[in-house]
Amino acid sequence: MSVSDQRSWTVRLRRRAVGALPPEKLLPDGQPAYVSSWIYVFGVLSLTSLVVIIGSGSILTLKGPGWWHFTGVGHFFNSMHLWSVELFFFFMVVHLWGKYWMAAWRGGRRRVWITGAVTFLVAIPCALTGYVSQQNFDAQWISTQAKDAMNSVGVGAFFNLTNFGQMYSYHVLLLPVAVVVLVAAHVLLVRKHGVVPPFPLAEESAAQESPDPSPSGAEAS
Amino acid sequence: MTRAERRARRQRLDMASRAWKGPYRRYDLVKEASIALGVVLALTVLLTILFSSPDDPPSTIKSWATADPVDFVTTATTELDGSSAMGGYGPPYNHASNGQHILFIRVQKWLGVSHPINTAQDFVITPLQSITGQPSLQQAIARYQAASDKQQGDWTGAYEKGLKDAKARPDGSIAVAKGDYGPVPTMLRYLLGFAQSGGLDGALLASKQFYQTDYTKPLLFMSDGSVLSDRAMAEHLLGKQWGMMNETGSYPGQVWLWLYTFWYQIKPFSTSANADILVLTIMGVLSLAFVLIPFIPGVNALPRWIPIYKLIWRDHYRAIG
Amino acid sequence: MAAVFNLNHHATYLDLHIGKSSSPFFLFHMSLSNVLVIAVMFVVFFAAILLPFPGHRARSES
Repeated sequence: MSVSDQRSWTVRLRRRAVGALPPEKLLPDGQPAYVSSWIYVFGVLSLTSLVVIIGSGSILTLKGPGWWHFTGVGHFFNSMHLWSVELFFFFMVVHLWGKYWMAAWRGGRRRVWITGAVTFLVAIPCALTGYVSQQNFDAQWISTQAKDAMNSVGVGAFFNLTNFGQMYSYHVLLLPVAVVVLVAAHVLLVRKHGVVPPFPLAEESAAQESPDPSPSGAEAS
Repeated sequence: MTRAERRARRQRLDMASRAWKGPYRRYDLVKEASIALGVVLALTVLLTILFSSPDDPPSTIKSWATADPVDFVTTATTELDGSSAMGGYGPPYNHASNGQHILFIRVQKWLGVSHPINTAQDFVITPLQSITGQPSLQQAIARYQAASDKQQGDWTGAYEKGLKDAKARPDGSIAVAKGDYGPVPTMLRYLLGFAQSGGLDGALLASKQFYQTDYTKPLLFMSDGSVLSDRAMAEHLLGKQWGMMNETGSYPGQVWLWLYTFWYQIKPFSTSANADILVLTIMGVLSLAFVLIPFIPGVNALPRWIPIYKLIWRDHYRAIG
Repeated sequence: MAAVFNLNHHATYLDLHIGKSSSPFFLFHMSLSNVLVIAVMFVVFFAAILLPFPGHRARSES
């Protein structure tokens, strides 16, 4: 690196990013041969559920929070939003069970586990703010009940579940951004470290595993 | 094997898991993601067409006061003398109590009153003062406010006793046995009429400016009565009915809250005044443990001991023979 | 738009109690919809790890 390159934040950032995630790692066309179980599809199913949540949610924001109560089309997209949320949690939990039983944090992948777990935990208040933004009886009940839990730990002092304006803002912007940032970090970490290899059955098996090169030249990470 | 040897073995196995040096096969990531998106979209549309989504209309102060005027007036009286749940709640609404605590940790108290609500003023007197052209009402309010705290308490206490046997009349008013209630019945009669006309919904929503988005006051007023809890009980949404997980109608609810709602069903949480902070503390600790599973001995070794992984990777183990 | 199956009616509940039915020590009370979701989750998980994955035959042939 030239002296001017060393001083350039842009060049340093670019080299670090490309070094961590070269294009063939970011979008590989090969995967380890041991990835041969249906359990592996639940990550991408969770991710695509999130895409449908954001898409249906975006349509609901186009016409404002009251729209879905008074039109069939609005109610349709509200239903899409609800069921994609149910699917998101469903697929995420199955994905999490699979990753736990694979001990997928092995081999330097602890941050992959951590970002995934935190995504799950952040998705829960994201869903809660959605439930209290519905402007129907369910929202009335959930907000007046859950406020006691928030207040008991002091969170209610600055996070008021009965304040529709605040809850709608959290639900439509702040918490989805947090979820998307966490999911992006999670996916990029998976691309960087690769999918966790199987447990060696014995240390001897680990030593005997064939060192064949990958067909596309994609690096094992 | 000594502890050091076990640690060294764990580190060797961990290093071996870092990089895969074995065979690869062709794989189309973009195609897989596109197919997954199509599948999820199709499933979502199917579930939408089959089941739609719930939308039970909200209760209003008007609907509450019309359907159950006795409950409305009883609640309003307890707001007037501060004996309601909101009146005695504590932070973040008022200083009537210290709120919940766990050991010496009193976060609710420490963070103070950030959303001040004076139930007598906010739910009863201020809305009544906005009703113009009713001199008898304004005289009743003046008489009430001029009385001592003890006198006010005697009036409201007596009225609450009388309300226990009150009946609703067909015209929407209520009939209470005669007693020494002072100006309280006059005030509550006007408040009931105001509520039944829909005016109280708007009056409680009003704040410092024209545009409103904060429903705290009308919601907290309603939550002190039985209008919301009666509907909730019918839909099995009460805490003791595992309500946190449930949804109105027969829809699935927030299934992921199963563990959180479980604690409220067992002692000591089911009978504790500090149930919320206790349960949230437990869930906070468990959530932290969930995030830190890779570091927790035993928990991070369980996948090795219970070999579900042998099913997941059976093709691989067969291939390496 | 009306749904094919209207779920806007009172749910069916699964009740299991430990102790006297009049004042149980512990009461499990969950809607059938929620129980079904959880049950399907377990079924899907075990199906995912047990069902054969296509590509195994291609790999063993290659």
